[in-house]
Amino acid sequence: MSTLFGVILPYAAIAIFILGILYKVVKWGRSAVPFRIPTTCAQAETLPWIKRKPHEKLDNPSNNLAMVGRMLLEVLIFRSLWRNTRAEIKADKQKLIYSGSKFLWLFGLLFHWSLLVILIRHCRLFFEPVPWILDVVENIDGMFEIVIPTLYLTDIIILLAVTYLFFRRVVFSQMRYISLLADYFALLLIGGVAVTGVCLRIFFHTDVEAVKELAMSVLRFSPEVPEQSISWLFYLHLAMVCTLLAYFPFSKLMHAAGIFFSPTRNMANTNRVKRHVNPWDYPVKVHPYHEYEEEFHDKMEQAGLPLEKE
Amino acid sequence: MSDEVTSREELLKTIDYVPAQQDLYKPNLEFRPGTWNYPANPKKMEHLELPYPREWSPPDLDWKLPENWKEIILKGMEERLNRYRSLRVYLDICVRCGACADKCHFYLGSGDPKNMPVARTELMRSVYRRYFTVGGKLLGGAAGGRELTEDVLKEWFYYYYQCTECRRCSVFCPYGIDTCEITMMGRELLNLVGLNINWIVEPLSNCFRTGNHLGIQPHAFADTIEFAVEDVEDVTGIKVDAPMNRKGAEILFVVPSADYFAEPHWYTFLGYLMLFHELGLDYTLSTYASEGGNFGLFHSAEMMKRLNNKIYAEAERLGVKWILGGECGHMWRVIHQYMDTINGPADFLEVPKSPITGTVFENAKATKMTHIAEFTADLIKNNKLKLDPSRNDQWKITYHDSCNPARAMGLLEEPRYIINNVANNFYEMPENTIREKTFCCGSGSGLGTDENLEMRLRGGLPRGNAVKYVKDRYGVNILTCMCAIDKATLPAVCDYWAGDVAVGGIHELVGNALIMKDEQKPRTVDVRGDPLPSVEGSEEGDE
Amino acid sequence: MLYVAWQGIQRIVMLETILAQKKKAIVGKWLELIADSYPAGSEFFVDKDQFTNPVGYILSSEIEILYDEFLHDQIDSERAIISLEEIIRSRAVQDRTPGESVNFVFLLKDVIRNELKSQAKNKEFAAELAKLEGRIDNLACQAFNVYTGCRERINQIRINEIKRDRDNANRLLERFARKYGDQTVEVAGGYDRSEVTE
Repeated sequence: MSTLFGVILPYAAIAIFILGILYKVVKWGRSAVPFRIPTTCAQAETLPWIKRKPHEKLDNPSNNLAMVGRMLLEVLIFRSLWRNTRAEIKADKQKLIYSGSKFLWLFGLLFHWSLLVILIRHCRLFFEPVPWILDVVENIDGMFEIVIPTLYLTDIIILLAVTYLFFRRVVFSQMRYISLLADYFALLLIGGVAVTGVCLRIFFHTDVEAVKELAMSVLRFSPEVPEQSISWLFYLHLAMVCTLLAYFPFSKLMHAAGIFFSPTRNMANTNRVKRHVNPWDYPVKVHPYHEYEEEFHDKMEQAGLPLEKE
Repeated sequence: MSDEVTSREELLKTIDYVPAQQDLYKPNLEFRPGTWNYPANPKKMEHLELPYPREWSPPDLDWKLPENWKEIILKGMEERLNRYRSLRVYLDICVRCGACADKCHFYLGSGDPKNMPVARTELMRSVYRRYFTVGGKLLGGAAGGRELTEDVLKEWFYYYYQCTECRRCSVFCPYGIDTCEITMMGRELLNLVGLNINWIVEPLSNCFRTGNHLGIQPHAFADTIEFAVEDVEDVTGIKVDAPMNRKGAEILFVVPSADYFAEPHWYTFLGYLMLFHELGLDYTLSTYASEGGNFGLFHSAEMMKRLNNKIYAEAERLGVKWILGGECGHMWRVIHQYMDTINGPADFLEVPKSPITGTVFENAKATKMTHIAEFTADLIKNNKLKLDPSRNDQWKITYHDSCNPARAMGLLEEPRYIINNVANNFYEMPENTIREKTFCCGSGSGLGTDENLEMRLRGGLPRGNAVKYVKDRYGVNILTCMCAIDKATLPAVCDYWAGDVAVGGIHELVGNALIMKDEQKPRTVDVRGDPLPSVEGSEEGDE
Repeated sequence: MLYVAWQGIQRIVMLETILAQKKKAIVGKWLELIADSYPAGSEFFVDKDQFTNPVGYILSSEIEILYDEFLHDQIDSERAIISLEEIIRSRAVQDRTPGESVNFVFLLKDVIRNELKSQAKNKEFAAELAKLEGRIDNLACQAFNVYTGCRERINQIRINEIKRDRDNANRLLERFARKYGDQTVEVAGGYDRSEVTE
């Protein structure tokens, strides 16, 4: 049992995860980028006296450095979703009104950042000795010791965020309309991982040392299931993580890698400055000038238009 | 309390019209008149050697598809998945977060959920999952896959000709997913089985043969230009020169063909002629490359290349140094984002340099084509033009950013700079309806035909609504824009949603304000032939 | 006689007062029901921004005005007509039958009847309610007039557009005629001129 859930499953999941991502990324990479099609979201760099604000230089990058800046903003603070948000004061009500999309940006951001911090925290299971940076992250995250043992800030945030992201799909008819089984599944899975994780910490304390021993051994490719018993809840937690890993490459979760391949974002608006080559360009049938003049020769002559052949 | 107030659900039962909760994957097949475009004339398709020309009509049950249509579509899809990273990545990574949902003008105007960009893409994504992903092949519907049926194909036709490729959704998408890319591919696939619309194919066929969408032949082109010269003379008393097909000119000037045919484009064209005369510009028009606009963009990459080819070819034949382009939307999408790639490199040309100011347009270093707004803004900045903004006082002006110059170029400040220098009364529309967030006219990408009017009015609602706002608030009476399709179709949109707002171009305003050296008498009319406000005032005074 | 009439007036005033008090609930329900008749569902109306969701904004602000006009028996007023125009203009170009385009007015009946359920048991009250409902019927007639007006406008726009295209062509043809005399001129030879409309 523990060998299946503690060793075989993780190996299989990690293998699928890595190979799957490679497969997808290679597939994407092998698709050509025939044209340079950035979406420009601000004034372009044109005449030197048209001054652009710093954010405009990123929203309409005129070189690769600015493009990287644009990507960073997109990845780190979800620039485009932010654009979506409005905080307006309605004249008639004198009230600040936020639209629902503000919440999408906020909860999306909270969700992804806490996921990252949680991932980093879990790295301590794979390092001996534990690097100091992990301690720092953990200490900050555990700053507010709400319950004992430490309930991490990110644990609360991710549960809140997942709940919000799930419920907006259920409650809003517009979201219900576009939501697929896969969308609920991914959220439920991540929610499940988070809930079991929190439970492991607070209610059903598991032997972390034993888990770490297992993790290290798996990492060393000499898996040993430790003698101390590891709780079934942990295996449930791990099984869900493995499912998530194996599911990842074949699902929409690949947006994490995909955004780096998005031609409207990862290309600078250097369209008229630098030539972009289409790798599969082929000659097409055109209507050359001499054929045109041949057809309309007399009419052109009558109209006094200059001709190649008199 | 509970027995006093019935719940909403119970109340809903009391009314007749309860909306059926539509299913995203259930094809929607109501082809109501006014919401679709006529299919292409088979003769025009034959002229372009397009596959499967035939007579058919969307409301027909039988679309006379070729027998192996499914195979053709799937093969075409596979080919495009390999050719366009955008397609493959965008079909893979959408998380359906819904950020794009209410950003589409067609959705806002129609309330039809399949007009949400995410849903429009999902029409193809479901087929992609079913035939090109492991999950979809194994699990089918459970993994979001969908069989490709004739109904699905019909639905593609309906909704991919209900997207104007304006890219507004791509501004708000956290991954930059551009529905335009999907729509373009959708249309290419439909073309493979002979499903085209006439408003795209006929202009293509005309353009291929005569050089412009209207099918105007060279001698008639020369005549229309002559008429424009006459009109300029009527307004200014000056007989300007408008050279055509002239070898050795410094600049080739290319405009969308509507500029020398339709109103209100015509007035912008007069503005160009006046400006060039005043500058003594060494330029030429071409009868062969007499179309900047490129409906090929709305059809297929191949067709776009076939038509665009004429511009560089003509520049080379005439031996010009660089190319100047007029006010147009999708023309500039093609020139800015595609021309150099599909028909370049234009090594025989030089980097555009304004002969008047000496400014070198570094931003057009490779493509060698400069936008007239860049050119004119540079002239004004360098004090090369004498302008009398009061000659535009009959107008209270707002400016509509056309989708392509805004979201595919970032040409936002130049037109505003020009307007502010040639006119006194300029009022912006609300912030979230202009610049990169601008709303489309609802008629772009080949949908601007009269049989499609109702759909266009739906799509034009958000734009019309913003126009109405500035009209009510500031008394705006003209909407200026830099796009030939806008100029052709926004009059209807303004008429229906805002009422009584004219549509015009930037260089129409330039033409009005431009003080010309050779002018003997003070100007009494604007380029539309209407009396100038100052004249009207003084006439009243005389009486 | 007079007394009975007076009682009637009093009752209807009372009814109006109640309806005015319940305005928020009634308008809210009404909006909900109307929103539900949009294929995209009520979510479409969460964002009521004036510019990014004009339909949502117009609907939510105009039906409130319409309700006030209705309460004050002003359904013929200029403001009421404007409200109807604002609401119906978008419905007239959407996928709806004429009936579906104006039926939102009748929904008000259901909402009011539902809100006044307890009072409606009172017989005399019910008679007054029926009078109010007559007002709603009249409002619906107004709505239909407005709808027809919108459709006529669309047709007019269609005609104008075709006319404009024709005028563009004619203007040139006239000038050709002037230039070449009576000679027939082939403008776009080989193609049917009437099909070329841009």
